[in-house]
This record gives sequence, C-alpha cells and structure tokens, in this order.
Amino acid sequence: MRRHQTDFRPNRFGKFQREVIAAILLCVCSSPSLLADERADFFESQIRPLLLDKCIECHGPSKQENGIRLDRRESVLQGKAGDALLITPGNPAESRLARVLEHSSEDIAMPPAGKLEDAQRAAVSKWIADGAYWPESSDLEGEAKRRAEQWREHWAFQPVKSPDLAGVPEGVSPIDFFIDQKLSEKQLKRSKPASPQTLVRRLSFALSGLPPEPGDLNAAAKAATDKQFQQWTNQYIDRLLAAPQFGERWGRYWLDISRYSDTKGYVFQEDREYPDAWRYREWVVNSINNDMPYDEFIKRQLAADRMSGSDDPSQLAAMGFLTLGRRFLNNPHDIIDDRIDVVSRGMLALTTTCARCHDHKFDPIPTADYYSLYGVFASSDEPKNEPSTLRLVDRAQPVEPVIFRRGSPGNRGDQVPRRFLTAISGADAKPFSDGSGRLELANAIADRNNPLTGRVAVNRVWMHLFGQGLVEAPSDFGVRTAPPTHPELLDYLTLSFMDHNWSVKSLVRTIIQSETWQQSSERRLEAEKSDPENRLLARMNRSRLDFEAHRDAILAVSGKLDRTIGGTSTDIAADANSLRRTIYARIDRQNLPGLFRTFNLPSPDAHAARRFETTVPQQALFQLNSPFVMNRAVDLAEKSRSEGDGNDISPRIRRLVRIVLEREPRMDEITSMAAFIRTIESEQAATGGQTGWGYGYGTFDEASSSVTAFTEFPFSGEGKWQGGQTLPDAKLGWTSLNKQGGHPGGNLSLCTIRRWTADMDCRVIVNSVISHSVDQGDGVRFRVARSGHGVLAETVAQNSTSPVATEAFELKTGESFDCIVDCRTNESHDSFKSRILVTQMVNGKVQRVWNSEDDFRDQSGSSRLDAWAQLSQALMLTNEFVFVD
Amino acid sequence: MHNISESANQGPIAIGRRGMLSRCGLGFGALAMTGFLSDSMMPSAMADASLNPMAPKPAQFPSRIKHVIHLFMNGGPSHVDTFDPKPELQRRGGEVITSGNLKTERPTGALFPSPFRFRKYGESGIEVSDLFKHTAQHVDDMAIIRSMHADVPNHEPSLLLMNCGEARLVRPSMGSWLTYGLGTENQNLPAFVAMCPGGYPIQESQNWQSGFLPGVFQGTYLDTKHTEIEKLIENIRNDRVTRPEQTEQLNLLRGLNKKHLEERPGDAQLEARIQSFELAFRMQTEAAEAFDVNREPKHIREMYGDGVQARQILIARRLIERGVRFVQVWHGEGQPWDNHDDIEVNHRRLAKQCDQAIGALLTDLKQRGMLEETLVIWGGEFGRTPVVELPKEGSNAGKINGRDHNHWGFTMWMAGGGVKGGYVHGATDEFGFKAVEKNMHVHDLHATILKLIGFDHEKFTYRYAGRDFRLTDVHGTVVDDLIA
Repeated sequence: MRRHQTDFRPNRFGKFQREVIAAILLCVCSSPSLLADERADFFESQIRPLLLDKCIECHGPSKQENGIRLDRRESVLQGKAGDALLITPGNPAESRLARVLEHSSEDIAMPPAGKLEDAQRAAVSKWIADGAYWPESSDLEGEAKRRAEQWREHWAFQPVKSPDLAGVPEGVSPIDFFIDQKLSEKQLKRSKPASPQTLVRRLSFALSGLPPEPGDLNAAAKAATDKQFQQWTNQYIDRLLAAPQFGERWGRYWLDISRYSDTKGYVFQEDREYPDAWRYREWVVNSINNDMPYDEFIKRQLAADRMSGSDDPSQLAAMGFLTLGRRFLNNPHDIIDDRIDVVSRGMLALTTTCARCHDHKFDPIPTADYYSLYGVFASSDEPKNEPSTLRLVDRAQPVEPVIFRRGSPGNRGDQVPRRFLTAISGADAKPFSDGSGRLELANAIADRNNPLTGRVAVNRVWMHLFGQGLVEAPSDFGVRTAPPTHPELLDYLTLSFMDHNWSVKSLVRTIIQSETWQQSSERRLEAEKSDPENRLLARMNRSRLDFEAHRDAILAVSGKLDRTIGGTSTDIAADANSLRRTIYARIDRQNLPGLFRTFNLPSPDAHAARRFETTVPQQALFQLNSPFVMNRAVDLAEKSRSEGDGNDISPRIRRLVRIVLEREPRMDEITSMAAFIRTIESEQAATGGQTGWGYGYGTFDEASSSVTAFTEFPFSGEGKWQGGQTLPDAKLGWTSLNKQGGHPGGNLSLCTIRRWTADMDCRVIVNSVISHSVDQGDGVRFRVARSGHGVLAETVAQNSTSPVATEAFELKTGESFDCIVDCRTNESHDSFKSRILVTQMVNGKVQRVWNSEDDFRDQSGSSRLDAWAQLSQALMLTNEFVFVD
Repeated sequence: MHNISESANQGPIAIGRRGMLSRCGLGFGALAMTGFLSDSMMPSAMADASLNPMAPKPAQFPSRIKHVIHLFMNGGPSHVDTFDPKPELQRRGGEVITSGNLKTERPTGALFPSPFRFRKYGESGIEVSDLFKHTAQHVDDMAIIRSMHADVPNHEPSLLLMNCGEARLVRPSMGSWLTYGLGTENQNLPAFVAMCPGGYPIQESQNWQSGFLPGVFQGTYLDTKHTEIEKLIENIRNDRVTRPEQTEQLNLLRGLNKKHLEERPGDAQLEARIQSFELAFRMQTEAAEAFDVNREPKHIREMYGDGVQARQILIARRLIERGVRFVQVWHGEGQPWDNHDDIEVNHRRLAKQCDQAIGALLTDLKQRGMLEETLVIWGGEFGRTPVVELPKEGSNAGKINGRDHNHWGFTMWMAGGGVKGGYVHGATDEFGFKAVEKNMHVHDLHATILKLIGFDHEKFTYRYAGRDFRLTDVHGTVVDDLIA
C-alpha cells in the first residue's frame, strides 16, 4: 500500500551504462528478424497479451499514469517518458520501455508488482529490435475497456436473486435441495444423520460454545421415534438460541471481525488502556442475544449517535466497532484507514484500503472512493473530555476530502464528494449531505439492495456452522474470489435472512435444522475421491474446539465455570484461577499473550477474516503444564469423588468419564484407567508423594556418617522454610533455608538439610558451590550424604566460596540424598549461600539438571497432582473432548 | 507452505494436494517456483505441512544459509565511531559546516570527531574502531555496508522498517516471513526467537510480530535477564506432575486417542494433535538443555566472556545449532545505543558488553563449520550524526557530547554463508552524514537478505486482504555485490 515510484524520470544514464544494457538486451534478441506476417503474429501472440495483462491497467484507456498509455499504436510509438522516447524501434537499449522492465537499480522498475519473466522481457526486446511492429488494425483500447468493465459481471455485484424453488418438494429444506443438487452432479449423496448423542453435542457447542448438559443428552436418548427426537431437537434448539450463552459464543465471532482489544497498541507514553472497551463487547453480546436485526446491528455500530437511543450510553457503545482500533501513534490517516478497513472488509467483504495509494488493482474501487469514505470518517470526531471513549460525533463543519496522491497527505489531488462506493451505488451516486455522512453510509451498507452486505453475513454464519464458507474468502468478495460453491443457496439464504427482518437467530435455526447440517461427519471414501475438500458437503466437517470453547469446556466439566454474563475484562493469561468464560479475556493488542497466539486467536491489529487453525507443541505444553489446566484437573477430580466408593475405583472412573466425555466408559478403558491410577498411586506412595527437593532440619551423626533425623520445616512462606513465622524461632532458632542458601542452627541436631528424592531410576552427579562471606565466625560445613553410603562430598566455607562435587551415583525411584549444612563450632555469622546442581541421567542421557535456586519453592506453591487429578487432566486433553464430530 | 493464504488457512479436514492448489488460487507454476512441487507429490507430506506450519521446507532456490542471527544494536550505534572511519571529520572537528548538515530529529552543531581510534584489520585491511576490536578480527568474513539509509530519524518507524519493511502499518517481521517460508528444523524449540534482556525494546513485540501471517510465526520473546527456563518458555516445566508420571499420563492419553482415531481413520487433524503431545514432551527436556549455557565447556564460555550479552549471544549459537531458524539478539530494554549525550562513555560501555561475544560468536561458528550455513547481521535501526547534538530541554541534560539520530547514512554488516567477506560496500560523504555511494535502502537490504537465504523477494508473497504482500512491499533491489 505504500507509494511506488511511477514517474518516468529523465534519462540519467551514462554512455557506459547504456552500452552494458544494450549488450544485455542484444544477447536475448539475437534471433533472426521476422517477416511482416510473422511480426504481426508475434505482436498478437506475445506483445498484445502482455500489454493487456501487465500494463494497460495503469497505462490504458481508464488511467494514463504519467501521461503514458500503451493501448494505442501512436501513443506507444511516439510516446515519451520524460524526455526519453518510450520506444526507439530497432534499438531496445535506447528504449525506456525495455529498460524499466529490467528492474535494475539504475532506473525505476516496471511493472511495480514484480519483474516480468525472462521470456516476456526477451519478447519485448525482440519486438523492439524487430522494429516495434504494431498492426494498424490492432486495437487494444476496445479490449482494455471491455476488461475494465468486466467487474460488472462479477457474481458478488449482481443483485441477490430469488432462486427457483419450484422443484423443491414439500417438507424438504431448500438447503438440502441445493446441496443435493450439486452432490448429484457428482453422483454423490449426503451422509446418514448423526447419532443423537453426536447431534446434541454438536448443537450445544455450535450455539453455546459449551458442552451439553447431561440432562439434555439423557432426554435426547429417551426419544423413542425419529419424530419424537426431531421434536425434542427443535425445542432444544429454541432453548439454546434463547440462552444468553448464545450471545457469548456468537459475540466472540463478531469480536474477531471488529478486531476487539482492550488496549490501543503502541502509543509511547500515553495511557494505553481503552477502559471502556468491554462496554462494546457487552453491547455485541446483548445485541446478539436480543436478536437485533443485522441491518440495525450494522447501523448502530457506525452511527448509533444518530439513531434512536442516542442518549443511552449502552447503545452508543456500539461505535466501539470503529473506535477500538490501533492508534498508530495517533496518526489520523492511519486511524481512519483502519476504520475504513474494518467497515469494508468486515461488512462488505471489500478490500477498499488497497485504494489508499492507487486505484484498486483488481476490484472496481478507485482511489476517489477511498477518499470519499475517508471524508466521512475525517468528519467524525471522538468527543474529548467525556467518560465514554467509544463514540463518534459529526463535526460541525464536515471535511471536504481530497485525494492524497499515492497515499501521501502532502500530495493533494482532486476534491471528491463524501459518498458511498461507486461500484455499488453507481458513478453518479448522490454525495452525502447529512453531517459527516456516517448515517448515510450506514444506511447504504445496510440497504437491502446492497448485493454484498447480506451475502457476506450469511456466508460468515455458514462458515461458523460448517467450518468453511460457501464463499472461500469471507472478507474478500472481490473479482479474484471464485463464486460460491452454491450460488443459489447463498442467494436463497440471503433473501430469507433479509425477509426475516435480518434475524441472525432465525438464519442459524434454518441452517442447523437442515439435514445437511445434521448429517454424520464420518468420512466416506467415494465422496472424498471426487470432493476431497468436502466443499459439496457429502458429510459434516469434524471441528476442533477453538481456544475459547476448549477452555470454557474445561471450566464447565470441572464444575467451576462462572456463568456471569458481561462485565469488565479479566486477564485470563495471567490468572490461573480466572473462572470466567474466555470471551471476557483482556486482549492487549501490543503484547498479545503468547497463550493467545499459540491458540490462534486472531491478531487484534486488524479485522480478521477467519482464524488460522494450527497444531503446535506449545498448545500441548499449555494443556499439560499450565496451572490453569492443572487446577481445573484438581477441581474435576474433587467433583468426581464420592465417599461411598470404598476401595472400588471403577465407580469414580465411570463418573469421570461421564462428566468429561458424557458417555459410559468401555471395559478396556476402565481397565487402562484403573491401571493408571494404581501405577501413579504406588509411585507416589513410594516417594511419599515427594520427589525433587525437600526442606528440613535434623541431626548429622558423625559416627554413621548420615542423617539420623530429618524433619520438614514446620513453617514455609515468603520464600523461606523455617521454624516459625519469625526468626529466631523459639525451638529452631535461626535454622532456615531459602532460595539462595540459608542459616544452620546452633548445634549439630539443627543442621539444615535439602533432601533430594529421585522421581525415577537414574544416575546423578551433584555439583555445589557454597559461599560464606563474612570475616567473622568459623564458617559453615557442607556435606552431601546418603543413607547407607556415607558422605559423598564435603567442604568448608569460611569467608570463602567453595565448589565441591560428588562422583556419579545411582538412585532408585524414591531414594534420596541430603545436602547438609552445619554451624561447625558456633552459629554466629553463619548465613550461607548455596547453589546445588543435580545432573540427572537415564541411560547415559541427561534428563534434567535440577538447580536448587531455580527449582526453589516455598509451600505457598501448589501441591502435587494426585492420581485422580492426573486422570482428570488426561481426559480433558483427549481428542474426543476437543473435537466435535 | 508458501501457498497458504488467508482464504485457505483452515483445514477442517485432511487437505488433499488438489484441494490445496485450488484453494490457494495458485497454479502448478507458482508451486514449482516456490520449490514446493517435489514435496507436494506426497499427499501425506502435504497434509503434514498444512497442519504443522513449522515443518521444514526448502527455499525457492538453493542456499547454504539455514539460520539467521540478527544482532540488533537498538537505539542506533554511531557508524563514524565504529565501522565508518572519517579522516575529514577528525581533521575538521569543531568546524560548523554550512552545507551538508541535514535535518535530523534534534538541533545539531559543529563536526564532532570520533573519540575512538580506527585500525586496519585482516588481509582486507578494513578499518574498524577500537570499540569493536574483537569483532574486527573477522573483517575478512564480513561485508560492511557503509551506505545504508532509512526514511526518517525516529526510532519507532525506523525499527518497524528494519524489522518489518514498513514503518507504520502492521506487517510481518523478517523472522516471521522466514519461518513462514522455511519452517524450522527443530520442532522442539521455537522457530523464531527474539531475546532482549530486561524487557522490551521500544515498539515492543511489534518488532517480531507476525502481522497477517498466522500467529505461530511470531517471534517468541525471551527476557534473557532470567536464567530459569520456566521464565524463558511458558509452561515448559511442571512441578506438580513428575516426569515419570507425565510419561504414564501421556501413555494413557495416547491409548484413548488411538481408540478414538481408529473409529475416525485417516483424519490428519486428529493425528497431528496426538503428535503435538509427543513433541511437547520432548521439548521440555530439549529446551531446558538448549538454554543452559553452563553445559558449554569452560573455554567456550570464557571466549564469549561474562555478562548477559555474552550469555545471550552464546544462547543464540546454541539455538541455531539445534535448528532454530531465526534468532534476534537485542542489546537491551528500551534503546541502549541511543547516546544523545556522553557518547564516548556510553558507546565504550555498550561495545564492551557485546564486542568480545560477537567476535567469539564468529570464531565459534567458523570453528564448528556453521558460519557457512548461518547469516549474521549486525546493526541498529539507523546511525548517528557526525555533528554534535545541541542541548535541548528535556532531551540530553544540557550536555554537548553526543550525537543525534541519523537515517541519512549508517553502517550495517553481514557475515556468513554466501556473504562476500573483506568487502566494504558503498560510502557516506566525507563526514559520514549521508550515504552517497551505492546507496542501500533498508528495502534493498531485505531483498538481499532474502536472496542470500534463497528467496526472490518479489515472488515471496502472501495473499492477505486481497493483495499479495511482500517483505519489501513494492520496493527493494537485490545488491549482488554483497553476495560472494
């Protein structure tokens, strides 16, 4: 979108450079010259298509950049670029036209979008070398004009047409009819209906973003006949559509479109917060829950200040759609560009901002149209000194916009009217006259006769429900985007959407009640052969829960979900115990938390057409190791506990599987889960539930060279382990351990002891550095000792730093060694520092280097997961939980 | 991978080769050009690539370079004090020049000679100041570009221009482009790492943003002030489930997923998610190991020296050694090299922090035979004026001993595979104000870097919002002189 240099500056070549280029060009055109007929053929087959494809757009009938046009014989053969002739017949090196194609640093580069292929450049040189033959009769102008008007044929700009429904049998959904029509062209058929269990789960996630309630699954299972089930399903759909969770699920989709963020992005020292951003989110959720007609939904987001309820702050919050973008260091042109982008791509699926610097390369959006819209937003201000920062108001004197040539505000071109896009409203469309024109813009977008708005909305809803849209590029309906897979279906749904007062809920209902949506997702080989991407929908697409749905589902099954609707944002990335639905996450656009990037939340920098779907190990790390998931696993394990189970572990396994996977476990599953529970429990019993570092005190017995008593410190917190809240403790005195070191007590029964317990069979080497750094007292003694093996290493630090290491030795799971510090003969000035590295190896390969400083935890940290919590966690990570059939 | 685009970024089902092609709006020609065709003949490889965006991929044409280390001297190091000696500046110090003092951010005064001595190094005899005497030992492997120029004398736009090729709007960073184009060779580590000790540089994460590319291509930021692995990589450690327990847990999970997959055969998405847990498990060991410089032999650690710069530059080598694609090493939080005053003291201090380690890095890479496959880039977002900055309220404490920003001319250097060593490219004017010979814009640098790594900057594109975007936008010329 940046400006590119298009002026043909005067020739600034020296003779030498000319010769070099001549040499280069000559060697590609040394083939023999052609006869006249051949030259005509050559022009028609090689040059004409090249000019039409690569040059005419900017140098043709509609535009003549820098006064150059390449569609007419005389304007090419006699045209000049600056002082230089475009073409010197017979001499490519002297022809500026040939030189600019070389993309050398000595001249400008044409075409700006990228260098032509070698063969294409060679053809131009050859053509010039052969005399630049241009048949008198050859008219590129007409063809170029036809091309320039071709967009009028583009499907997306055609009026929405009522399809012929005469062939649709009674009782058959037109959706199924149109889908079947395309399938039958490929001799394919739809799949069988999904099972009741699958359908209920699919419905629940699609409409609420949460797993179904167990009661609903049971009720569905009880329906005896197809008809009863269908009746029940329809009631269930009504219930889900009426529930406030619908707005939370579908509101989040709209927040992707509107590039929602709680912050402004980089603004140097200004306050970064948008403290009221959440009010916009609230408005979106509420409006969707109230089934606000989509045309009104759009209009309010652009011009709530000019509509009913304009004195109601909660309605004005709608304009957060415009105002919550990145601030670009408060550059007004970039802020307006962002607003034009979110409106055009979000509501119209047009890439209008491509026209900021030059006419749109492909779509019928001239730069003038961009600045027509620019004028609308430049005439709308955010009122200063007002608590609500979300709204816009019209300026008293609207801006009369001018074109900024090549996007540069310093380079002012013609004045343009504030008005809607000419491709839709016509070249002679009336200028806006009401204030900034924002309300008129809103009305033009939400107009029933606008061929884009309804189609774009329907396509997005379809995409969310099926995983792919009828139109592939949901935010670009421009001429390069292929027609929908089912054009009549898109138009049918669009008309029906508008006829039903633009009701999104009614549109969703229509789609999910179709047999197409309710069919099974099982793969069918015969269908995959002719339709590998399933664009024709011979089956339903299996879908992976997005980040929001997975996190919310974890909260739901663990019994902890906070179902409060609405409210301010919460930092879910930082707070492992935030129980709010994920839509309420605080989004900081400048430093988007890694968690959100990992899980493909869209960048809030700009409107997002759709989410990427990637599978990367960082996602698994979050699921395995994050405090959030582990805490919910503990909650879930707790929820599944029952006093009545006695020693039988299978009832609890059954309950867990029912809660998480909402089905009965199979026998083999009970067996493997029970084996898992027993293994973990026995491992934890062997190690006392304690592996790695333990912190205590005790006696070192010189006679047996080992610790004869080890007691864990009774108090822990604020980074310390010690005898009590304050030091010295009545019983243990100064005896204490912290991250960097500690202090031994005054006699040999008050040594400090870091006990390291092996979590697996392994071989270890212990490297330690002990420091004592005062010039008083007699220092401290440090020993590494192991019960039954005596002292493995020993050193004394007295106003000194002493490194010491052990030989490698073997430990079985649950076995331990001790790092003991005593006071020697007196305990004054005995603070010490210690850094102990335990290199843990299995089969000669380093598993982990334990580090007494980095690994240090006081007891305020969270505790180990027991076997049931671990099982709970595993269940919440299964593909069965994360995918919806 | 070069051919995913916004409209085709989702794979709700396994994607066949044909589907991929038609969705991407690209013909076979385009694929062949990107060097993808040979891989794409295997549908399974194709499915993997679409599901694992980090799967390694060849560049558009062969290149020796597999990794990039970008040493970012944020704030703007002074070229006339480091790699661009100016005898005329030394001679005429104190003189107020009437022409040629170009507009920069702040008021400036007389010619301010460099307080640092330049000496010749290597066979090439290229002159480097004493600030970088260790680095200078390698001049014969370095191409020193003394004619760099950018657009404006301000940090924010210049940082974005240097990193993303666009000064204002949100665009993917060079590291994101490269990981998008090449994937990574080690799935157990992040593909693109940005290290900065103590906090962010200004413009923060935007310097390594993925823009409209998928979020997985964004740089992973590490605050190298820390040494604990869990502060470097999120959720890499688990204190509450032991390793053997997690092994059991994953075995159980694998069993449950296997059964689930058997009932839904051939679904690449399900398989990919199963795989991701295996990868994550291995990552826990490998990442901790990669970031632990204590595992280096003593003589290597001593060669890099002490301090956080030495540690992070050594980490950079350990990372690329393990297959990480792009490592950006920032000098520090904010803009450390931005010495509007006390430039002598500050530049000396800053260079001392990193020079030995940079020299060691080049020695180390060479000894290991890795310099051939690594591109090392050194530089800031711009340089500094040869004239002294004048006092201005609120900006430089009233001192008259520093230099202002200078985007008109500055120096960067590159070393490594494919770079012409012992070579000085272009020049600034007699004082070092403005690039005047073989001027090289940041876009040209990007085009050349991409060429070195195996991409045609005009054809390495990504379709977004209706346009095919490039790192160089509509600019950039490859400077073949820099390529050996």
